[in-house]
Formats: sequence, C-alpha cells, structure tokens
Amino acid sequence: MATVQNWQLNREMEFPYEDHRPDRQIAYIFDTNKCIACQTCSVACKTTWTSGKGQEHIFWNNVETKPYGGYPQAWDYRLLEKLDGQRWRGDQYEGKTVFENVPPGETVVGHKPNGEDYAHPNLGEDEIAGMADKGAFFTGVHHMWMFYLARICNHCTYPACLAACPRKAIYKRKEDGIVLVDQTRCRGYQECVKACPYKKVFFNSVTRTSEKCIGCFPLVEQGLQPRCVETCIGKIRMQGWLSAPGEERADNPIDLLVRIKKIALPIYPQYGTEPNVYYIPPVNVPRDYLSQMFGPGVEQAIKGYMNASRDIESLAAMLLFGNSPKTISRFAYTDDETIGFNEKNEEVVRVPLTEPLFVRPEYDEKFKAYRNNTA
Amino acid sequence: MKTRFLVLALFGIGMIAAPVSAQLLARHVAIGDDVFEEPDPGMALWRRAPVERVNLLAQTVTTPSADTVSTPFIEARAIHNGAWLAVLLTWHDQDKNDVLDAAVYSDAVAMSWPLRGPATSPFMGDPNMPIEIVHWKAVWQRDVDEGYRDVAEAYPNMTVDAYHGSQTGKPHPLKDVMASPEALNAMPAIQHGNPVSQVDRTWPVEQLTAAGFTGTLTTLPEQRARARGLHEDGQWHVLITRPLNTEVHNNLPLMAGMDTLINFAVWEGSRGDVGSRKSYTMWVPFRLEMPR
Repeated sequence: MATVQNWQLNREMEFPYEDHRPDRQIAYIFDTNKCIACQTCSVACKTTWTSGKGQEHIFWNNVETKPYGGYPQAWDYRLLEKLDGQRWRGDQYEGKTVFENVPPGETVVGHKPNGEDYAHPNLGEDEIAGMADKGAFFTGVHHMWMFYLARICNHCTYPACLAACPRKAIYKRKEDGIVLVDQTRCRGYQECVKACPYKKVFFNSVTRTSEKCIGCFPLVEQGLQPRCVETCIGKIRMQGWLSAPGEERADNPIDLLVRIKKIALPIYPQYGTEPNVYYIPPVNVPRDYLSQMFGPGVEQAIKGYMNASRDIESLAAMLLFGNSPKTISRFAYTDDETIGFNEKNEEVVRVPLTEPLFVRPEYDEKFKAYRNNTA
Repeated sequence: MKTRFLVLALFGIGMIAAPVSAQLLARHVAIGDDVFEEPDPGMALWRRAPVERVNLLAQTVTTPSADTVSTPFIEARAIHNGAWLAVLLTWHDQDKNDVLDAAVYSDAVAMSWPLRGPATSPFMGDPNMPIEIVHWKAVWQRDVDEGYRDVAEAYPNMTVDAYHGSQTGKPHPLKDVMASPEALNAMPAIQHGNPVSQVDRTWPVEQLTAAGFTGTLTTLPEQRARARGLHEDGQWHVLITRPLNTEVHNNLPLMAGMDTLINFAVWEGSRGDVGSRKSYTMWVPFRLEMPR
C-alpha cells in the first residue's frame, strides 16, 4: 500500500500504487443547471461506442434524475451505506475512502450490481423528492426538487477499478490520464465492476470482458472534444485539461472554474478516487443533499455561479462551453468577447459575452409580410 | 496486510516441505490414443486408476480472496498410455453454473505443475519459477456442447433493431454480425483474439503459464490439451487430457517414471468464485507409472 496526496480531500490517503500523476489530466465540467435530460449525450455515446452485441444495456454515458434515479439502481446509495463515517472538518476529509478500512479479503470497498440493476435506466426519471399537495402552486421558493445528473467515467486520478484488477488489465495513460481496460488482458473477473464507486465499468456477456468509457481518446488525440461533450444541445459540458495541484493557470478554463473560482466540484469526493468530472451544483436543491454528493464546497460554488454574470473571468470561461468541437487549453477575453485557443495556440472559437440583440421591423419589405408574435 | 501475506506465504512453503498424505499416481494402461483424443469422463476405464482425495483450502494469500472453501476436497485419478495423460477430477458442486453475466460466474477447475522443479511456490509459481496450468471452465463446456451464448438466448424477450454494419435482420445472430468489420469494432475483445472471448471453441480448456500471482497469468499461444466435463448428481466430473510430450514451450515434458508435483483449484460460480477467489490445494507428489 502506498500513500498518495488527494487534493480534493486535502489529505494523504492509501492507494495500492505509487503517486504518478499523468503528464496531463483529462477533465470535464458539467453545469447541472442547464441539463434538461434530453439524453442526446447518451445517444451520441451509444451510437459511437456501445452499439455492439452484449452492450445493449451498457451506457457509458447516462443521465439520471436525482434523488430517486440511478443507473445502475442505487449505485451511489449502496456504497455510501458501506463507507465508514463520511466526516469533513472544514475542507479536509476525516472519514474513510474506498481504499481504507477495506474488509478482509478485498482490495477496495465496493458492491456488485446484478443484471436487473442495469435493466431500468430511466427508473426515477422526473420523480420529485417528496409529495406535492393537491392545489399547491409555486410561491417563488422551490419546495420540491429533483435534478438531472449526467454521468460518465470520471477518469479518476486514483481509479478504484485499476486498483482492484488483480491482472493489471486496467491502465491510466501517461499522456492524458484516460483510464482504459486492455481488451486483450482482461479475463472478465469483474473486480473492476465491483470496485468502481461510480459503476462505470460494465461486464459484456458476449465479449466476456469488462468495458468502459474510453474518453473518446481517438478524438481527444486529435484535439477534439469527446462525443458526449460536443453533441450536448444545452452546451452544459466542456472537456479540457486539469493542471496538477499547484500548477493551475487562470487562463485555463478548467483550472479557473475548478481550482480558482471553485464553481465546479468533484462528485462524491469522499470515495477517494479523485474523479475528474466536475459539476456545477444545481442551485435549487437542498444543501445537505448537495454536500453529501459534492463535498463541503457547495455553498461557495453556488454563490460563485450565481455571481458569474458580474464576474467577467468566470463568465468568459463558461461561455466557451459547447461552442467549439475543439478542445480549448487556454482562453482570453476582452470587454465583448471570450476567445478559446487549442494546445497549438491557434484560435478555435470566439464568443460574444453578451448575446447580440436584433430588432426586426414589424413589416418585412423583402417578403412583403408582417411579423406576428404567434409563437 | 503485507506481514499477514508473508506469514501465509511462508506457511505455504512450509507445507511443500512437510510430508503430505495425498499422492497422485498416473497408472500406465496400454490403450489407444483415441480415448484421450475424445475425452469422456463417463467411461469406466478412468476408474481403473487409484483415486486420490486432496483437501482444498480457501485462497487467502492475496486479495481478492475466498473466506471459505466451496467444498472440502477434490478427487483426482490419472492414467497415461506413454503418449497421452488423462486426469479425471471429481468434486461436489450442487448447482451447475455455466453462464456468464453481470455478477454471474462459471464453475471451473484447474491443475498445474511446476516447470522448474519442486521449489516452486504452489501459489501460481514465482518470478523465474513458472508453472503450467490446464484450466477448464463450465462456460466453455457449454459453448462446446450448445454453442456460444448469444444475447437472444440469454434474453429471449429482448429486441434490438440494428447493430452497426450488421446486414441481417433480427435476431442478428452473432456469426452474421461478426462478418462486418464495423460491428466487430464494437467487440474489441473478440476482434483482437482475447482467449476468454473465443467464439469458436473446439475444447473447453486452455493451457496457461504463470510466474507469481501479480498478474503474470498468460494463455499459451499453442493449445494441446483437451477436456470434457459432465455435471451429475451434484458433482462435476471433468476429464482433462494432454499429450505427454507436446514440445511446446512452457508445457512440462512428461514421461513414464517421472516424479513431479501437481495441484488443483476449484471455482464455485454460484458463490462468486472467479480469478483468485477460489479453493485450491497444496502441491501433491505426482508420479507417472512405468509400463508394467
């Protein structure tokens, strides 16, 4: 057992392998406030990667409704029940991670879903957390809540799947931190399926190996963002590179929102894997539910997000989301525009900070017609 | 954790040196090769060999481990004819587990012998002290007997409109789907010849080598072993055969009069046994009888 530094927990923790951060770490930000669960991301990923035999029930990308949804069912709650006391002291985690207090005979704390748990991905969709009384109406404060949680493999810095594989068939790439299952080495033990706290490794009963999100590495290698990011209609996502702790740069949109402004938070950081998909929390959800899911930084994140329209730096970073298929490594802004650059320092996108306003005349000379407001 | 497994490893090595009551003798019988080439565990012939009952232990040297044995012992019988060896393995297992799915595992058995002499660790060998393993799985037996289990067989009420590149209609048989390169792209383990993803299996057994339990297990590129397993009356009967001298690298050259060691491992699918979650035996002296 080695000791590694987990920046999300602000402490050291146990992990079976020595600390070897990759040269660059792939990272994503998802703004839950914009997600409408249209499932375009799920369809894009499935069409691209999981339309094969044995993959019918496999969604490397899924969107579930919280609190009652989950794919596989209760993936998070079943692990939270097993994790020994998840206490935080300020921003330091005092509880145990999945690598600590492991029951005898196991490598990682985990649970095994069965086939049935994957069979109903939409269970709980749009279910609100509580009952709405007959005759109730909105008074300006949300009494009921639900939100959409879009999930992919988090390409964790300390992957539990990698730790659990007795054959070392899972590896994390040095060049970009993408975590992959070697399809020639895997013998289908399903230890990774049990160990992944996010249940994002899946057993394929036709290939008889375990399979997972590959971070669209063929696209990422070409400087393009993954399919689920690019196709998102709501522009809720961005893929980029997260710098190593202490090396964050304010002109990197991922570093800015995750490390500097702390508007985007890791999901269930208490598991200890240092996941690299960061979420802007849903502003209308009770804080105790959110802090269980995103850690102690929720209040600050929501405040920063609500204030973003007055903070040109944050606004400039967020307005890049969904506006270019190319991965943005650096950005700059003027009073009017935000500009994204790829890793070769070529400008790839330019977005106005204020949506341009067009006023069209009531009578159109060209078409000899009146404009009606019949929307 | 480290200390515990060092102690257990030393305990294991101690067990090799200590006198073991079980010894396996491969009786020489002058018979033709055909009964070895087409193994049938039901043949009365195999019971001409003396049976050796070997105690099983739960694997607790490394994680993930098994906390108890699935069954207390395995019975082994061996016969050779100077050209082929057959080992008949019988053990108690109430239910037949021969399909794979999420959290669903297959029954299996394996035997191994050291390639470089008796000082080899019985726990998957050591670096520079490899072992040869012959491994049978119930799921492969089913593949051979009933055909590779496709989605339509596993989930008969499910329907899929299309798979990438598949030219045929529902239910999209696997063989038809595999004919298309795009469809095969979505099954990389099959496409790249992963030994556990073999769709066209002739024999439900594979030969492997290992040199320590840190992930060294490797399927051998050439396969010479054959096997057949039968589940009857709450027991598995698995007959594994292999030419004595295969001349294949990492196959132990066997010959009449030889003394070596052998051990066994059993996996009980219904309790989640797979990989290192298994029951196994220590080394047992193994002799191939000279022709009488």
